[in-house]
Amino acid sequence: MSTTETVAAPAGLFSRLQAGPTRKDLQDAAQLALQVEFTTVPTYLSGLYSISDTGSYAYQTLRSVVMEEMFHVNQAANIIVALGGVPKFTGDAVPVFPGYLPQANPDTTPYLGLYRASPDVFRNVYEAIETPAAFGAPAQGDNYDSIAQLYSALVNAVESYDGNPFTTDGPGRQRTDIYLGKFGGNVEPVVDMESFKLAVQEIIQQGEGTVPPQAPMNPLEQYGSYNHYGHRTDGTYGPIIGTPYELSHFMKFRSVANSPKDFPATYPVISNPNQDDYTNPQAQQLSWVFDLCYTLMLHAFEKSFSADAPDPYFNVVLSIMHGVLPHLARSLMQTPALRDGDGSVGPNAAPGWRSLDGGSVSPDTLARELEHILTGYTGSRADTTVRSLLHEAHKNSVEVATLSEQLGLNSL
Amino acid sequence: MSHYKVFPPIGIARVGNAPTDFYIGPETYRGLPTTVEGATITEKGFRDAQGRLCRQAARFRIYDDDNNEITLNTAGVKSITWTVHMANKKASWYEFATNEGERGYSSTHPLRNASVKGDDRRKLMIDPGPRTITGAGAGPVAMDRESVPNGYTGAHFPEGTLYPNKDSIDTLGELRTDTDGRLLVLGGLGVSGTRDPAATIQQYANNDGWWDDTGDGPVRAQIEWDNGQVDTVDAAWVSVAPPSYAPELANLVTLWDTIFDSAVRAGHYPSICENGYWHSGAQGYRPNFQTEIKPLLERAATYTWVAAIPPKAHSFDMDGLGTVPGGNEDGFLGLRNWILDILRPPNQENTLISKRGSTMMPYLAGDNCLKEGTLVSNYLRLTDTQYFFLQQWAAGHFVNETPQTPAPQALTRSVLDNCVGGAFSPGIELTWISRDRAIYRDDDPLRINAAEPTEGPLNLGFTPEAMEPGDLTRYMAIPWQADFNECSSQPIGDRVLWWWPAQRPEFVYLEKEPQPDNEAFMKLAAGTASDLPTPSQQTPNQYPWVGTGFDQTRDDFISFADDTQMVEYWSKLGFVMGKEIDGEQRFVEVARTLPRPFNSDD
Repeated sequence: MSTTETVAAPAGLFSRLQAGPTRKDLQDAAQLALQVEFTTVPTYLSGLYSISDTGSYAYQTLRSVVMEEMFHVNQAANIIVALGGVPKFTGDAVPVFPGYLPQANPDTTPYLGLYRASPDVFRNVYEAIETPAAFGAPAQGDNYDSIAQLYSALVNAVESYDGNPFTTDGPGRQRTDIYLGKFGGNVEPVVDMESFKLAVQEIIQQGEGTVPPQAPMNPLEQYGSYNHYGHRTDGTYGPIIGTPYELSHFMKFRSVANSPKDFPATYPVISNPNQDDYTNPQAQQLSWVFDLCYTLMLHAFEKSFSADAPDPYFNVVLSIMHGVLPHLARSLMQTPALRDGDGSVGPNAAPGWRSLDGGSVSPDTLARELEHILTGYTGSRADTTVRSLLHEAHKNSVEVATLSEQLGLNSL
Repeated sequence: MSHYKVFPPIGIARVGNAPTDFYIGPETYRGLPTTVEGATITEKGFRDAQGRLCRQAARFRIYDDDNNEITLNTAGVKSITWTVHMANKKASWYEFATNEGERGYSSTHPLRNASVKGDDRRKLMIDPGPRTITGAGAGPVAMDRESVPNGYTGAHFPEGTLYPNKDSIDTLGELRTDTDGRLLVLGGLGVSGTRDPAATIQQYANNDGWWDDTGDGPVRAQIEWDNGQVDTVDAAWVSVAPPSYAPELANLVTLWDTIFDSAVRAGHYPSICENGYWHSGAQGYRPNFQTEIKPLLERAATYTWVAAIPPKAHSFDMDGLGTVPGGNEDGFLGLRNWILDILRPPNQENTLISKRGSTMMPYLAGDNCLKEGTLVSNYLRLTDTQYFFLQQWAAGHFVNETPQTPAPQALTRSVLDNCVGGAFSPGIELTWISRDRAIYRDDDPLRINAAEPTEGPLNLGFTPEAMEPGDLTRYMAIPWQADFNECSSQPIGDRVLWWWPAQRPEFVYLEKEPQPDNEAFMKLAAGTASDLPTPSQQTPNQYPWVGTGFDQTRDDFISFADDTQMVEYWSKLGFVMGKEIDGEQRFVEVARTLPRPFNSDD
């Protein structure tokens, strides 16, 4: 069994955390937590985009989880900034699939891949990622059995730091404005021990639902507002406060896995795709463009947490996440991987979520590549759906390119 | 067309059971009502000394062509004479059946009180005949059964005692003038009932045998000058509606938005839409963020005070979103597009989940989510014009500047912006008749075609070119309390959606948390054994305005279990008002006289 190569945690990080951490050690530990959160996102999105009915329960459930994972990423990034660091999303920090969660115990945690969604994937992969810690489980740094135990180690380390580990004049920029939509939780600035612990608490509770249903996260609510919608105990869908156990990611996934007959249709995509295996040139092109787009997004995302850079979040990152990446993912998933294949039958290509480091990555290239790819679509009826998705992606990529240039971010 | 017009062209009065005390309806957008003396009312102002709910008067003013107001203080004015003729035609009209009838009723469409035939159907109208008032500080001039003008042949009021409240409908309201001779129209006392002592309400909109004392009709005026000249003023319309329980909160689609949209699409505002062609793009119409965009975002945000709606998703960075892209900079394009993409576009009235998987907004019930058929329209959407403005804004083609709206137009918009513009099922103040262009004048797109004064009786038909008293409110629910009670939440498919939270609150915040040792609160929190809510599963301090809030399937989920209870208790419900509490502004419930929790045995 091979272990993950996704992160090379500095040797002995956890023994240093226990022995008396430096602020850099704390930053490294928080960065690890961020990467753990971020690693789940491509796994979930691969499954999400493979579901064709966006209104289905499985799609809606998975979407709500992946949105909340983005909230965890944002919250973890704020922790890093509060500890005086700058969150890293590029280079070594990019997750590689398939693999384990960074530094996780391979015997007790799931092997993460990029899978076409199915009830088994929900049960054996997604549910396993969000498995609750056993009651009284110890803090674990290296080789952790659950995400909660990793966070326990982080909290212990921050508490044992000699002095005030929190700073407001580091090189990073905390953000509370990028977590949009109706999903649970609120990104809060991290400024002291109390806000740090609340941030961690919210992440853990949302994932694993260690909170029993009679004790929602009241301390985090602003005068008790309903903070999201979901399936309620009265059997209807509607407003919910906090994260009762049945709305934890773990239980949401379980509810999908437990009703396999209701599972929606999916595109016939390859799991754990490898672009080099494709013989359909369109699939190869699209796969490469997807990775380019993803790389751009990561670079811009990193900059959005850096205090000294122009802020590309609302005109580059959000535009890519909202208006380019999903269209490209769905295009790929309806494109046969093999020459002369049938997109309804498969096997179809799928996003590889690879970072194209080394070469030039510019928003302008993305727009031009998409334009070029579009010329290869002849207008046959079979192409209609993919063409219209690509058209939308292209239109938005042109906007992104223009706005990036205006920000002085010609290359990212 | 006269050089003088009454403004607003449509004014809204509201019922109340206080016989004498009243306030003047807000004349600013999301404003509080004012007293006759001009002061903004406090929370004590919603009720009289006996705790009865005050009526809201509609004030009418006269402006000339140059937007100067004409009052008794204007040089050369000798007198101003106002004439109002209100009627209630609800019981004589067709049944309300969602959007059926908007393009004309079919011959199969049932009438209300269908067993009443022929000329007897005129006895299904409440018609006090016209009333006139003149001078400053004059009135009240009652529109009651005792004071029908000589020669008026159409007068009619329901006879006898009405149940369940054992009262009677003897008036549709009264006229007064303020110190400058402007007209104040007060509506009825909120009396609704039936001659049947069992007093059951069968459904939300149509209940045979029932009456209520709302109404509507033309508002005419004549100016007599010192030199003897008399000018007739272009008439306006007054319509009487349920109370405004959350006056400072606006609906996403207001009555202004709806009427304005119908006028835009009819070509009255060619800079926006000309011959059916929308002026889009960089060279097209540039909406003003302050008046055409920001209010929409604010309405979404303030809904969270009156419904169980997550605040995070409805909080917006107004500075960023109002930043006009200039030169080399547009830092918010992605966010603007994101917001636009969440909103339900035209022609997708039945789409809840978008192709990208997001729940489309608004999360509100639509014009027809009740009846199957070809006209199903499950979910509310913005008007075409609102959506067009947002498209232009999202694309960056907008301005952000202080509006320079002339006073009469500003008054019109403010008054109508404080009313519901959808969903029309049937609605709160007016329903879909408000967007039927046939009822408006061609030369004045927001002004209703008023029929010539009549000696009665009023007619039973639909004459859009000559609208009669009662021709606007007759589409509304009878009694209004039935629709008002039921239209709180609406199950559609596996979702429960909201109706008009800003006009008919669903959940409210309290000024102070009930104490846990408060017996009544514990009873509410504990519920019955099968409901199993625990205090910590309740929202800590957001409470159902009416009914219970923990189980969306209960009959009394945020409503009275029986519509008749709304007829009995509507005047005791609380108002939602902005107050500073613990150092921050909140919209909280005030002036409630109904016990919480409600117990019908009390």
